Amino acid sequence: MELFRVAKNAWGQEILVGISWDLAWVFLGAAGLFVVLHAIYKMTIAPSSAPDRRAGRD
Amino acid sequence: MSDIAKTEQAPVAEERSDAGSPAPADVARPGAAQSQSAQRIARHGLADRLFHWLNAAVTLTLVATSFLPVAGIRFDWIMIHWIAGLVLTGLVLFHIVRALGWQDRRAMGLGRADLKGAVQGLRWGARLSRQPPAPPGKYPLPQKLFHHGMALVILVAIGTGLLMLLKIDTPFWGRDPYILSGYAWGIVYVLHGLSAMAVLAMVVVHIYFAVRPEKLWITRSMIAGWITRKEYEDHFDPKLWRAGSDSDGS
Repeated sequence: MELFRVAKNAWGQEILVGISWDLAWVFLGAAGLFVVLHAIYKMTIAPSSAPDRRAGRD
Repeated sequence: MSDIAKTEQAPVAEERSDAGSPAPADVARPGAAQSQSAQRIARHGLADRLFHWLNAAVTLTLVATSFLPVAGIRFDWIMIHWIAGLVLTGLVLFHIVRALGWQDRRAMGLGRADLKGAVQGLRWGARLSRQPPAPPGKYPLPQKLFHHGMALVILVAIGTGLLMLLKIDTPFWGRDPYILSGYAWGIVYVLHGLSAMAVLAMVVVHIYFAVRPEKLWITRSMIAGWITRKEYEDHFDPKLWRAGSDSDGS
């Protein structure tokens, strides 16, 4: 997978024209993975609910 | 908005009545517990809610006009994109001025207490400790980190986007592509693209948390502006966020 998009200018030199669009799928995939892992965490090992902190407050 | 407020209020009142033995004062006055849980605490002022939702609409417009053409959906996206970018720039300037001049900057600041709370929260979340983390001030650490991360990528996108505007003709100026070297333009494009992709990922995560059942009360506060007294007492440290300390809920 390419990291950058490049093109040739009028003199035939390679120039940087941006980040590879393929990386958008990497970012989207990372966000989706985070969502799935967090949802699994909440359904399995996460403490059951937000604590009622008033009980322990001094 | 008032409809949402009404539908959210009833479950909270029921939750309070099932929560355990009422306080003596509540026993004396059966309606007291319900009225207290239904009591509203201002969290977000109208200006901040308008900023948030306009920001959301503009950001989604920018994301759509960035990535839909890449995904093969062809339309004339450039004008929509740069106009939305200018609107976003205006919104961010408004937010910066308001945050610096009218809001409590400490509420969004990072400090030693945040680090301590993060360690406590990680240990509690991983079931390594039975001690829940100390309640935060107005904004818990994850919200602060998200805000600062989003601020960073949005500012990079705006800065590079404004530079890129110099390469297109607008009603306000003619294009001048030679203001930067070819190499410098390449860096600008890379930073703009990277920040756009980061925004895309962060928007996904943000929406996920906004619709999670246990977070809906926070989402409601961004719509209606308020949380209940019970939500305030359950989730925040009154010493760090004094309810009603800001007249506009900021």
